[in-house]
Amino acid sequence: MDLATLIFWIIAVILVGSALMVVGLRNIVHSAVALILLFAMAAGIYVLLDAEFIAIVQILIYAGAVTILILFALMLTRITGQQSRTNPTNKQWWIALVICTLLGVSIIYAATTSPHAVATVGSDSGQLPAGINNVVRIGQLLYSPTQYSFVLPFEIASLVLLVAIIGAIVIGRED
Amino acid sequence: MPLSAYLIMSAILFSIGVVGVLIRRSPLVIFMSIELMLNAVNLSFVAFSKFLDTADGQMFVFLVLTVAAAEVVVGLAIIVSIFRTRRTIDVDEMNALRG
Amino acid sequence: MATTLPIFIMVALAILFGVLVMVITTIIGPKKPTPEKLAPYECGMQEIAAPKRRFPVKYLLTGMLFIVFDIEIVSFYPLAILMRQLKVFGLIELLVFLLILMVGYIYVWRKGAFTWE
Repeated sequence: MDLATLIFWIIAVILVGSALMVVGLRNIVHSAVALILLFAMAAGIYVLLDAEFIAIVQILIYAGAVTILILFALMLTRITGQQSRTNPTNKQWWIALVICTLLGVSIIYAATTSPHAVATVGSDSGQLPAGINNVVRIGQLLYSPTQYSFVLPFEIASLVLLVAIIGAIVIGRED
Repeated sequence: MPLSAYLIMSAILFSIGVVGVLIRRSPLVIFMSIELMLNAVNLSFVAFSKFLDTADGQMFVFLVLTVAAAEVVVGLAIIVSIFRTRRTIDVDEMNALRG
Repeated sequence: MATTLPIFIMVALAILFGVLVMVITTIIGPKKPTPEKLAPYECGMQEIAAPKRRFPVKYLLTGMLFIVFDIEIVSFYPLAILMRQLKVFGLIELLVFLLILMVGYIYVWRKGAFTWE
């Protein structure tokens, strides 16, 4: 077993464990802290997959900003003395567990037995030419005006952000 | 590591996220579970991008991040504004469309 | 993998350092707790009752605007690296993106969400 495999297993175990903590813990603040751990570990997986730019963005946006925002919302919507009075799950939890187990098993089955599996393509042989790193490749896809580019989706993303800004102001302000 | 290892991990995370959405009653935990599911999908995107040796997957992850940020902003604003009008955020009690 | 290995070693060392420091201080540090020390705020006046007022929503609003503009800045990073290749086309892309977001920016400004009275 080489080092990359070892790192993968360590990160995968922490990742799944923290995901279970997010869903299972009674205290919502603990869930949010487990969420930070989960985002950081996902960034570790991205680094393992040679996607440094995505890893940095993940840390910056998710682990940094989104969890802080969720904690703010937690602070704002808390009624003192009313916490942990009821059970945090609803009544049909066992049906949900069965359905989700079926879902997970079927996804895993599909992913492992698919005739289109690409497990052997590329893998570790894909050495990039010098000077072309990840950010440049993402940038070429997103911004350069060749046939196969995503310039329009990028501009539409700004429209989505505009909607988010206006939505936040309209819904979120207290007058 | 083969690609299937990443895909299996992604599937497990996604299923855990679905469980969270279905069984928890606090909308904030449901929200976190949705983020979890988005991350699981991003994980498989990046794994595919590595094993097919293109940057497409990473670019899609970037767009997903943008949409997820917008979703977080609007969703949390809605949760807080529901709390302001109803003084509770239990999803079982939000059963009427007219607030 | 070879290029990213130092990152993992660095992270492992950082986690190890943090855990070690906390474990060592809890093991060898003297513990003489008094109610004074266990209070959330050690100095200042005695607290009378729990604060009634909630934090204002302004914090949340500022955080939301931060996330949106954070995404904006992050998406300029690959564009900045490619700017020499893209020349005028890149500049136009940037300006269109900024123009659309500026509508929101001006809206926020006119609504007064940037002021902290």
